[in-house]
Amino acid sequence: MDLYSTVLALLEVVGAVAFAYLSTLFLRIYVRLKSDELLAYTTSFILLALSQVCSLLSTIVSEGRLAATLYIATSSLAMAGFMVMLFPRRSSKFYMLVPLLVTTPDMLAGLVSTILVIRSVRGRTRSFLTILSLSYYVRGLSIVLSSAQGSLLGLLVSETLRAFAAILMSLHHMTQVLTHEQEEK
Amino acid sequence: MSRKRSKLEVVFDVLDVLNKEAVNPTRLATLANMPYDRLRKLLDELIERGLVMLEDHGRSQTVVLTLQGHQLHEELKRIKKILKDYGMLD
Repeated sequence: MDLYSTVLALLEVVGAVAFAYLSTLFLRIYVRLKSDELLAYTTSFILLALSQVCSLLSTIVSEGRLAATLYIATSSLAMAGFMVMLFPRRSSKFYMLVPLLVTTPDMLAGLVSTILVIRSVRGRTRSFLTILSLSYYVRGLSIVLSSAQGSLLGLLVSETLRAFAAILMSLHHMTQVLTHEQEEK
Repeated sequence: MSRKRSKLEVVFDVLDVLNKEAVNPTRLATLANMPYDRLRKLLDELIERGLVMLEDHGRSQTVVLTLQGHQLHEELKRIKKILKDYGMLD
């Protein structure tokens, strides 16, 4: 590591520790008061601390793809943290913007997984990942619809679909690992 | 027009008053600038959490901060500037 990276890493550590300290301070007060606003700020500081950790790791790891993943996690976690800070009160008049903001990562997750399915995934994994990908689109759409209609049906369907696809995919990979071990024996 | 105070702000104001002096609920409602019925509800909650207590003096009552209440007030003061920066406190 060169001097710049070392200094940057140190700054990230200090930032992470500071945010972690703030979140424990807010959490302690929240435990006593049970105030929604304090919970919102506690959550956002935790997310910002995690974002700092991801940022730190992204500068440390040498593998490019891993660094890029951590880099994306840095901004995603920070965005989630800022969003909580933006709407700490239930009565906020900007609350209507939340569904649109929440939809963005869902749509992106759907888009990236679709590209993954088309470009490189084979076998049964392709089917499971397609369902997972579809669930993210449905999830994104249902957030907007549920905020407009007040019905959570779409969200429940998408969550069920997502959980179902995730279980199928993980079990499929587990089976692949186990059958491989048996074949080896 | 002044904006409606958040619950956190109200709690902070109440604790701030009680940190200076023990007062009766009516006076506390005036000093914390809130309706009496709303204050009673809040006091019930704060009593349940062990942050304040009511002391009986014959026909009158005084609201007093407990040790936990003092600690919470100190902790809230520590984050007061942060909360102000984010517009949570005036």
